[in-house]
Amino acid sequence: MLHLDDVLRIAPGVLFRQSEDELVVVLPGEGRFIVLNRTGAVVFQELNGKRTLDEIATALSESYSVSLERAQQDVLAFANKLLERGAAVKVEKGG
Amino acid sequence: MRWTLEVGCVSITLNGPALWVWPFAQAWSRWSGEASDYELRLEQDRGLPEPRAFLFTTLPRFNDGRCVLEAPGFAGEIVPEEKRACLRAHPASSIGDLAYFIRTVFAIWAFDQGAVLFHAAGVIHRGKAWAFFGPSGSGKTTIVRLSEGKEILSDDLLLLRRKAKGWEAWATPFSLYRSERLSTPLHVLMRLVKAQGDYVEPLRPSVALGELIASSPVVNADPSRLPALLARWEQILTSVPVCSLCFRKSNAFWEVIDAAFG
Repeated sequence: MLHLDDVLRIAPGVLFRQSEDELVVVLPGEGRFIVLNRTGAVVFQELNGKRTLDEIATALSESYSVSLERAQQDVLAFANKLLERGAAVKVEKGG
Repeated sequence: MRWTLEVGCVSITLNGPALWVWPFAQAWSRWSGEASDYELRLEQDRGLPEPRAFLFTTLPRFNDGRCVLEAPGFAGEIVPEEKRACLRAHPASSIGDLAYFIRTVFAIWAFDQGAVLFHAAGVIHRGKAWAFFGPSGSGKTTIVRLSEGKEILSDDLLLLRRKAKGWEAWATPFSLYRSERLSTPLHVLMRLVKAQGDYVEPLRPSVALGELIASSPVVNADPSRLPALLARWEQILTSVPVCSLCFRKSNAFWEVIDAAFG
């Protein structure tokens, strides 16, 4: 289970392409893919191995005029799904 | 014994014991070609343990463009840049095991030649190929069964190859069907969806792209070929329309297709 002070990055070998308003994320190894909507695409592309999930949620809350609490919940749930699907990996603290 | 498999100008010469090569030369005689500089060797190796499972249960592993298929009874290596592949296999291996290795070699070599092996059923309708795709269980075999009277290019795997204008679909030997024609211009890509009625629906481009990559066997498991695979499908989608076909178990869907595409 992730926490707001965790940092993620896009998993090695993952490819993505913008397609109209959505982002196609192709996962390596099995030909699996996920499609992200505009907000999901913004969060996914923020997973640069530097920003915490809390920082991403704060930026999202300001850009989309949603409460910080709601943005934090959504970012955490979304990040957990990305981790589960192998689209992102957790950056270990101090690593 | 040597025999060359050729599909849509992609050719591979099989070299191995007659017991293993001859069945392919017979069953796939429509795809006999001139000797190729790509050689696939089949070698019997009694030193290997007896196979415990079919080779198709083994997933290929890629490293720097090379591919390895290893399981008890099998040691396969594919080196496309040197135009060679070799399967050492226990003599008890089945023809199906050998066919799976040949299919894997072919998928990679075809891709490196600018084509793509596509997990789809191909039906010829009004002189053009309609490719029906989707994961296992989506209805490819059903579509073929319900297309009585039409020529079937394949119920499982098509080779797509670029031509001067657009793309063409080729019948491959990796299917039970043997159509009269070996290739036809590719007209439409249709994602199959089982439904209560028959209708054609738009397919979001993002979903189409993801589904098509998922339907590109072997090469979609190779991280080094994945960027080119994405680019190839994007290129195909610039000239070939894609949509969803929702259908039930009746052949009424062809009327729906005709209404949608004229």
